[in-house]
Amino acid sequence: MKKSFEEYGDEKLYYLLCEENENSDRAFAELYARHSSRVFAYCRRFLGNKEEAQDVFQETFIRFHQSSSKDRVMTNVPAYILRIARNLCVNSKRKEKSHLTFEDYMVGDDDESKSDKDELLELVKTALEVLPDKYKEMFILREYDGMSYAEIGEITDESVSTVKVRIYRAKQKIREVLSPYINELEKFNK
Amino acid sequence: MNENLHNTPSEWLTFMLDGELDKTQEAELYSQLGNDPALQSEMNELIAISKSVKKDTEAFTPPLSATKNIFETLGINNPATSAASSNSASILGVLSKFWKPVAAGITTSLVALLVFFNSDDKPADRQLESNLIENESSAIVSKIDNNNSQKIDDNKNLALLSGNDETESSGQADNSDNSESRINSNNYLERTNNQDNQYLDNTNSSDQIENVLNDDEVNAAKNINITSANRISLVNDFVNPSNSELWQFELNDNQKRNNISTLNLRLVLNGRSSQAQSNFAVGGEISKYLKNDFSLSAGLEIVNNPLRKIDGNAVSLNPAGYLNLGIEYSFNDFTPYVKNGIGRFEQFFTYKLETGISYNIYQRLDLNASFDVNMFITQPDNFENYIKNPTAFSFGFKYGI
Repeated sequence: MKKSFEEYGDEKLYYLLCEENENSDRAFAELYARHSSRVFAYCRRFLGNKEEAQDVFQETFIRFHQSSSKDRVMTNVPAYILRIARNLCVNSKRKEKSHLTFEDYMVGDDDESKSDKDELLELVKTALEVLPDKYKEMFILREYDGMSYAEIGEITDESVSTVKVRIYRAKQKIREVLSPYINELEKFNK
Repeated sequence: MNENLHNTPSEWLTFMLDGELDKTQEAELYSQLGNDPALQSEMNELIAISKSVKKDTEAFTPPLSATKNIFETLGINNPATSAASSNSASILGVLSKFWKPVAAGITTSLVALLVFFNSDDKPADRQLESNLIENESSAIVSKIDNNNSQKIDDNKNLALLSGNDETESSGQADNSDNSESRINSNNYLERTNNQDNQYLDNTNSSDQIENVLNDDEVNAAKNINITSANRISLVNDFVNPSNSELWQFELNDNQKRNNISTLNLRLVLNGRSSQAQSNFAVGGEISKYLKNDFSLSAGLEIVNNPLRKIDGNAVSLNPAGYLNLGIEYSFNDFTPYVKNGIGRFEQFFTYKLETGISYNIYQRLDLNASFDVNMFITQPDNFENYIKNPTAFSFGFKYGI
């Protein structure tokens, strides 16, 4: 039976989740397994602060589970979950001003456990922090969550042309931040 | 800020890398890329940025504590978390799934033990326990030490017999010449027999026996052109008749791998746990030894409910019969094997590939563990209702009869 859950689509799993029987728990676990990484990536990079991101991440899935209803016509489950995450992130940003903590970017954080530190990645993360939220959000949804422009528009309630412009500007901004390190970029191209 | 698009090559480049550029613009962009080094450099930078994001594993990995908090808050048991946190518990969980068929297999095999254990031994076709041989050898060696006089008497009797043989082979008896030759041959036999006794005292190894046999004088004294197998028996007969059966057993144990006429019949009982359900298998197989510790096996097996329908209201299914062909390799007490089976199950056929290993735990009793996967050869009309390619783990016994 475990294999059959893996074969189900997101929409099928959502309706199983709404049934509130023994299948709903398995359906939720399967949806969590599929989408938790991209949701956490969104929260982590949008908010910057690890603890804050973890809180919003937990709240996202709890609200997703509690708001599941057969009456809702579900066509895009990951977009729906990310919309919940986005709203919570925006609210969190409004409540307290997010600020860079040195521990998030110093050498001794989680990334230090890996032997092959990616210096370019560190630069990209630093550049993200200086982006305006509306550009940063688009960049994260595109690069971290792999969303199409149409899906990003659905989540952020913006037009596709607006999404295109913001993603373009976000990437150009990051390139500007990284321009002093162009020589090093060529090393990482391989 | 102006958020309008300008349809520049740089914009197209971003959209193209995101897969959001239409084909016409994409073709035009490719033509410009070939002639614009700055555009090429920009493309490389954007690609590098995307690649570095994919390495941001810290962002993509939710903390275990967060996962745990979510499921605890919702009151849900997360299967992934349980499996990750306790591998041993999962193994026990798997084992607990088929304790009933295993118990049934154990009970049935115990009954089989009671039935077959009292059967008469047939030394010709049986696979023997080396420990048993060693114990018996030690006991007989002790007897040799305590019964030297008996051996001498036996040797004398046998010498008389060999003297009679020489008399027969030579035709008319020449009393004077034959008696002298008989005395010489008897003395020689007695001397060589004592040497053989000493070998037996020191070791039970057949290699040592071979050393005795390699003594050409022994063969010359016997005046017999024989195979190594027969030589062992004859030497033992001369030395101590009570050893003959023992050494013949050891002969079989050491030479069984090369004795292609040896057949072993085994009863197989396995408990199985599969994606379908827990069940059991019973069967029989014959194995024939080849060279270099390999054996070929063939057998029949009955498995109850090896396949099952997906829906919750699965009907009771008929047992499946399998015809199996396999190859085994023996080393020490272990026998890994690979087996192919064709199964007939209701209205269609399946192919089973089984890999496993047997371990000889006591005389003719082997413990067996295996893993198999069933694949449909012919599919029923309602094939989508069946669990496809179910796998199964089996645990049970093999008993040689």
